[in-house]
Amino acid sequence: MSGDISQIRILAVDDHPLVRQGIAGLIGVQPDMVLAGEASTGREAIQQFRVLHPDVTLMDLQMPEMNGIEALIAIRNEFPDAKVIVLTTYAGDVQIVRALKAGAQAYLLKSTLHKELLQTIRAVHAGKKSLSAEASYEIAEHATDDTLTPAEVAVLRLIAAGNANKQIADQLSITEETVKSRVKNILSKLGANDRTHAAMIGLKRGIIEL
Amino acid sequence: MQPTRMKTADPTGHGLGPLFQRRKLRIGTRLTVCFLIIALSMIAADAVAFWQFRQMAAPSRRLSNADHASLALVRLHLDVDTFRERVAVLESSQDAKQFSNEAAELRQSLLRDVQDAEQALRMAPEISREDPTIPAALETLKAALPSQLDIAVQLSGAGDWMAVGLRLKQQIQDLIDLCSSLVARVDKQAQQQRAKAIQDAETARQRLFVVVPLAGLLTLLVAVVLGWYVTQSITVPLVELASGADALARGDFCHEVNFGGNDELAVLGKAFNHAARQLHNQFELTLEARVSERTRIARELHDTLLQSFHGLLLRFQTVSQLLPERSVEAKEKLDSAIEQAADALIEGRDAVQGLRDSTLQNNDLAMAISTLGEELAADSINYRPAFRVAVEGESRDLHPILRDEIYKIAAEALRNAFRHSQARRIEVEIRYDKEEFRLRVRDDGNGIDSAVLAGRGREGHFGLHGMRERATLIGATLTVWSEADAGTEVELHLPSGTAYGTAWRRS
Repeated sequence: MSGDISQIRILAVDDHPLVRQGIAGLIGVQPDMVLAGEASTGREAIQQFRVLHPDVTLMDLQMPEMNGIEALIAIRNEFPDAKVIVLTTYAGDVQIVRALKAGAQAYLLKSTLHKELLQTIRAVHAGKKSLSAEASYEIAEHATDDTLTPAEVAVLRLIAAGNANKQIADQLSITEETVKSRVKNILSKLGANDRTHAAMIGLKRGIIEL
Repeated sequence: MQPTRMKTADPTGHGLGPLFQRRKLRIGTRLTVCFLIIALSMIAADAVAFWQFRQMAAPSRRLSNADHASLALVRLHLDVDTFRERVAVLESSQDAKQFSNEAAELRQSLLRDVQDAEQALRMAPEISREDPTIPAALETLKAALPSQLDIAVQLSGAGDWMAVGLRLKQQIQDLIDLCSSLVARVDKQAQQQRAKAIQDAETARQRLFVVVPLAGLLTLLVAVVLGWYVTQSITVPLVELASGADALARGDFCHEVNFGGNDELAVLGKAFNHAARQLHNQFELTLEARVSERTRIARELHDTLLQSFHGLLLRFQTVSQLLPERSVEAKEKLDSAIEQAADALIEGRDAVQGLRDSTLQNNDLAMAISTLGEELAADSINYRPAFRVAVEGESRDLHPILRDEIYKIAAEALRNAFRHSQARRIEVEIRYDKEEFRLRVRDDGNGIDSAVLAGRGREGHFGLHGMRERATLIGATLTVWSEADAGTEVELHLPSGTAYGTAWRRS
């Protein structure tokens, strides 16, 4: 590792080696940055953080074992000053807000990574917060929407898993009537045509995950 | 339309529900029983009316009998009077021979009249009951008249016409008096009977006016109640069945009809519920397949193509930053990026192939797998493994969803074998057994790393996770056996009930 005290030390967390390699390549040619370490799961990220104490952590959200949000929360609990930039493929408004609430300093879409990564790292390191343009559009789009209640989210998650009302009722220990009324609310709040559509919207907006 | 909230026929929903729950009898039997009860009640009402008419006839019969008795006695009285007149005429002619001749005739006529009177009185017992002296008086007449006649004949034979005249004035006159008093008494009784009969007839007539309409009304009531019951017991389940069909049409598969009982409609209800459950299963399966297919596509794209492109973009950005000052370094990075782009292309083609395969046109699984194998073999440039597909047992129809999933599992296994195993031989074995469906993909290549087998594989390679997920989705078991340099065998088992079961068959 470089001993230069002025360099920004970065931890890259992503389960896709190609993305990590890409990030490593780009950071490797920046004079003011150095890649302190890599991790491919949330769990590994926490361990690496404890060891490396990076200045900025790049955190992918969708990862096996422990996802990015959970790792983000764990790290922020242990190190309240940790600066984390969330990276993700999809711009789901709910997911963005959840990441920001969990303590992320920035939210970057992978599609704009090559343009925004470096300046975002510098901004976050300087103590600023940042959001991809596309992420901000997404939040603005749904800012006035009714949000789903946790109970409705639970139902939506089971719908996306291919469950019928009866099975959902059994799994959540509620009546089928309740499930039906929640489904109705979900369809109306999301503006979905049917259950499958609702599940797709839920996935797209990050209300639920794959 | 009726509100659709009612899930099943709630027995407490309508007060008469329980009545229709206990439909033990078949509809035909039920109808017959109801019609029989209605017919019986009609017969009973007719019997009551008939009985009432009979009641009305009795007084008039009594009336006629009394009149008859009265007439018989009047005739008797007339004959007794005639008898006295004849005796008086004979006495004045003093012809003993003619007297004795006519006496026999008179005797006969008198006895016949007495018998007639007795007969008439027997027919109208009420008269003797009301006045018991009447039969006694008649008895006296019956005994006295012939004896007086005999005495008169004897006296005339002896020529004692004086004595005959005397008897005519005294004893025979007494008998005539007795007779006329008898007539008066019987007439009085007949009058009384007549009055009573008229009164009885009036009472009976009044009763008739109440009883007959009442019986008719009761019959009507029985008919209406039974008719209503039978109609309801048929229409209530039918209405429920109709609302069940509506619910089905709306896609509410959980709506169950519940009739209870064991008649034809209950059987129909059970069949309906069964059909609804079957439809539900089919629908769920299709929905599940649709959702999971989309989910799979999304994940596959996310895991493969998208990540590759993200990586590529970053690499190109790096190259762009290195140029023009550090051009040697930039070229190195660019070359590696180009290599990665080529890999991404293959991944993309696989993904597209996966999508195209999701609607397997050809029903023949073996044919589809063969075609794919040929394609993959043609792609292999450096070496060309021997590829063979074997089918054992008689090929059976699989549900399209099942068939697609099985095909995709086989395709993934084949891609692994062709691309990574360096095998010399690759074989697919499809077996349609009575007990199960089995698919085997086997190669003699260099095997899969044990870490990958244990589930810690590199993402996007081998796709073992996806294969296992698919197998679980269709209720199959997937086993992967592999050893370094000994090859790999992927085996899929599907119980026959699921593979070719009726639950899967499209009707």
